[in-house]
Amino acid sequence: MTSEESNWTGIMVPLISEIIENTAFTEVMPSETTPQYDLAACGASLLVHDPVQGEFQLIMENSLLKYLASIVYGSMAGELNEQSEGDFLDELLNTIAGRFLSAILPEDKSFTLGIPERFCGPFNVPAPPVSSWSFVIEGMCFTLLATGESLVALENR
Amino acid sequence: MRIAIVDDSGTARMFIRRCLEIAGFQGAEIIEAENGKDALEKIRNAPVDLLLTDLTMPVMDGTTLLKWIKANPKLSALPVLVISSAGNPAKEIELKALGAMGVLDKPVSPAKLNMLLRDFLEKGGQAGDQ
Repeated sequence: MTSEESNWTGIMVPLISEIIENTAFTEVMPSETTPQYDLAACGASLLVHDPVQGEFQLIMENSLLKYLASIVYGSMAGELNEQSEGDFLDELLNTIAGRFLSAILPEDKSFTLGIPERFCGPFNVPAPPVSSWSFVIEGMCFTLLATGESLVALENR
Repeated sequence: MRIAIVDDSGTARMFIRRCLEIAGFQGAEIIEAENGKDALEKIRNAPVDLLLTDLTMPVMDGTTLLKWIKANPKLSALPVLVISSAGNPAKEIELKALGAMGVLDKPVSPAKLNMLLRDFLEKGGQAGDQ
């Protein structure tokens, strides 16, 4: 399910815009199409353990990851390397997933997330059910995916 | 003033450190820890005045760290602020019941941090250059 079809788009798009703007001071534009990512991209995944089971994945072009990380690290950008860029991607996914679950779950419902894990291409779209949202920053793309039956089933409640 | 930042993400620790500097704590000595166990070892050896912690971390998470601190008579008065993306209203109530002074959503901003820490300062804490 792409962003155009998802009931969560009204939550996800402003949430991601706010997080990126507050961390990297950069404007984000939603994309109507899901880009094809090649090996010049990297991904992070995060399991949702409770109260539903599922997974979030964040896939980002390497050039965009370097661009955003250099803004976030600012004067310390000279210390950036593959590990710190990956750490930034993990932290971004963790923040998005946590804030998103806070927004969609009832206020009295706690949730438990795993620890982000990084992965490399090829980036195949996971088996359904899956919801995805893609964005563009300065002509570079990233995509967030939500998978897992009980997680995606919340979308239609 | 000594402040501990506990987060498994180096990016998050760096971001919180910069927010503290902008919020007026640029003179504070910052101690960084990657998880609750690492933090406990560091603050036992060299006490801190304030501890900022994430929730979801490997080895020892933030909730467990908070419980350990509040159960230890030597550490129980230490103000603990939780900075996490997993802090929904239910979790916030739980954390405050355990003794947290507050819960802030990630990404934290200098303004939000300053607002919450102002209360801490008025109760006797001191910022480095304020």
